[in-house]
Amino acid sequence: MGGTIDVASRSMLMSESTINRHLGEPALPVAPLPEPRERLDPRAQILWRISGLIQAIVFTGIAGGAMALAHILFDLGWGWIFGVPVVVAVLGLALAMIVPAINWRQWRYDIHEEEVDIRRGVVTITRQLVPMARIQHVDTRRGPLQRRFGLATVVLYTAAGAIEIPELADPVAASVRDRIAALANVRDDL
Amino acid sequence: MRMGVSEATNAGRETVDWRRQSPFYIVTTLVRHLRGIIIPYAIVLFTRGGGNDLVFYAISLGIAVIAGLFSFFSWLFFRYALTPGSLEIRSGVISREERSIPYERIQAVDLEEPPLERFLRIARVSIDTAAGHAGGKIRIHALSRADAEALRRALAERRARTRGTAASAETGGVATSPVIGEAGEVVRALSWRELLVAGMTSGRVGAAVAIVGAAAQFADDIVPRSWWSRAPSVSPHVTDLRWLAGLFIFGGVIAWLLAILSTALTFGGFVLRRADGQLLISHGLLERRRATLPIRRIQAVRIEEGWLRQPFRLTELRFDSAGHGTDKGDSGVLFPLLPRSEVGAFLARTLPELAVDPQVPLAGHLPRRAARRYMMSTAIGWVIFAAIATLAAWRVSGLDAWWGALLFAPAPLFVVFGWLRYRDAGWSLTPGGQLRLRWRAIGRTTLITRRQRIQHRGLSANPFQRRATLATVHVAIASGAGGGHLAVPHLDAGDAERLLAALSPASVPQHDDVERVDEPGDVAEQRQQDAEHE
Repeated sequence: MGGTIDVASRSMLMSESTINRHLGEPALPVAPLPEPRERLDPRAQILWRISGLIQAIVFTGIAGGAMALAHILFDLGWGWIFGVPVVVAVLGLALAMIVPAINWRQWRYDIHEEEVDIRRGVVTITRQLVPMARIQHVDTRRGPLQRRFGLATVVLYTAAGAIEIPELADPVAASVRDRIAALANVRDDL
Repeated sequence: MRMGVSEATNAGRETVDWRRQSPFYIVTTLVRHLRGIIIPYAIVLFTRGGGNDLVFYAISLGIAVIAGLFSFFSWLFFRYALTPGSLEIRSGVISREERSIPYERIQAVDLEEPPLERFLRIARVSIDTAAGHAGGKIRIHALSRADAEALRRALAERRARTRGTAASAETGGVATSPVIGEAGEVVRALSWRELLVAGMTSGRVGAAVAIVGAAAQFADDIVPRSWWSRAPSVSPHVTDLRWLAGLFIFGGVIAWLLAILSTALTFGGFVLRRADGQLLISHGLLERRRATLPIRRIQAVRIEEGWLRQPFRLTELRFDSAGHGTDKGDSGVLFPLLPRSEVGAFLARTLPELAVDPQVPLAGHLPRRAARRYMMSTAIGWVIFAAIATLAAWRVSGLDAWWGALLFAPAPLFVVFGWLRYRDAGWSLTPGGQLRLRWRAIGRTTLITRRQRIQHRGLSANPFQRRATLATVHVAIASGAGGGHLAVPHLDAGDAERLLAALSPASVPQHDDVERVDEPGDVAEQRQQDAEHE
């Protein structure tokens, strides 16, 4: 128990005096949450663009197929048959180009001694904090596309689902994984 | 009547007393096998039209005989025995399976009596183990009541004995001894009057309406058309409306009665006991369900105030419990009906660390500017639905436009409801780390948990929220069926950030023993464990 509270190096520190000690009132400290600083690997953008392109192609294909079927079944006009897939393709292409840049710029994480801190989101910005003591295990995962780029995803498992930090360079991912494993383990051993 | 068959095997262990299940196992298993095919069978029986009867009945008989033989042999080959260190089970007709369950791995032993078993005066023994795989729950399907009770007692005894020697070595959160049987102090039992009230206010109309709807569909198909035309007619529209209203009220009453009946069947004889760090829940009129719940694994309590119950200041209490290993957690009813004024005392007796007085208002509320968003987001769904329904009705069946206008009429009600959702949302965090979150879906839910129970937490803000400096707070607790992710939308962004920071494990005050007085031993122990985890 002893060594847990003296962690003064945490970025999200608040003194005990700031905590309202009256029962029933919120024990809210004044200090806001400092933003996490670490970014994902820049190559993430290229990878996301490629997977975005693949998705755009797939969706265009589906739209084309659906329209062809509609043509056969309901005798839909040619304008629809070419129009819809073209719109889907243009939209998909635009999203595949724009979204990865925004996503990468927003994606931040930090591995503190007490918690993992994540901020991400394209339209809706999400902040997530995972206490080390609640992490059951942690591993890295590499998809086929990621392997080509030498990138990996770190996955944290808690009793309430998994949380991912994607597209880190292999050595970074390994060190992040080991650091989280070590910090999470230290808590378990106490 | 003695149903367990004892026999000594000479497989090296002369002293082992192997026992079998009750022969009624053959009956229950056969019924279960046949129940699965009865509907397809009936369809074939009534639709085959002519054909060769003899072949058909021969095949039917063949299937029944095979099922019967299979049931007989699986009864014959199933044996269990209590050895000094473990419960041994041998089973399997085609591939033989041998299982050995060390006593100290047994988490809980429950007796189950589904209707058929009840009728045959036998019981099913369900053994919960700490195994981290799919076979975590082991069932011995049919034992005479006496044998089942004896097995349950024997397992409890032996487990207590092995635990006694190994207890000092165990420090994990699982090391609670199982409370077995009807032991323990009764915390509260549901009276018949309360059961009736619970049924009347259950709001379980949804399922019931579906049944009535299906029945109405059926009735519509079989009632001759001429009946409908014989309805009293002032003007065509009035007739329709009268019929509709009458049908609606009648259907509603039937649905309500069905809801009362189903609540009574589920929660009849609900008893909550507490003993030795565990809660024991038993309920059910036709099928008696028993559940054992280690208090340590309980992550949160929810006070549910259904829309029919809130006006009468009545609540239902639910729990969220964490699983163990890969065994999924659970979420269920802690007590089906409780006056709001008694919730505080009830929780203080059952789960002191989650005890709270729901009469005490929450400390944290949403800012005024959140109200508009709640009202908008609640009403917009209905408006979109009304628009689509009107369009569809107009395009498909060419209904008059005033039907559409009628659909938009309840929109202001949704605005009021949105305002209620705004007013009811809030939070509270005590210095001791007890978090209360409240929100309204249809009924009002208050979730009570503790800082150290939160698996992860966060906040999110879409562009509209950011413009108004609002944020949605997310809290994830370990719970069964993925129900552990909770969100309260539209807090002031600053409040949300401060709440998030205050929920950090590092923000635990060093001396939080303010509320530690008069706690039962196991809770203090629990506290200590949680502190150790931090």
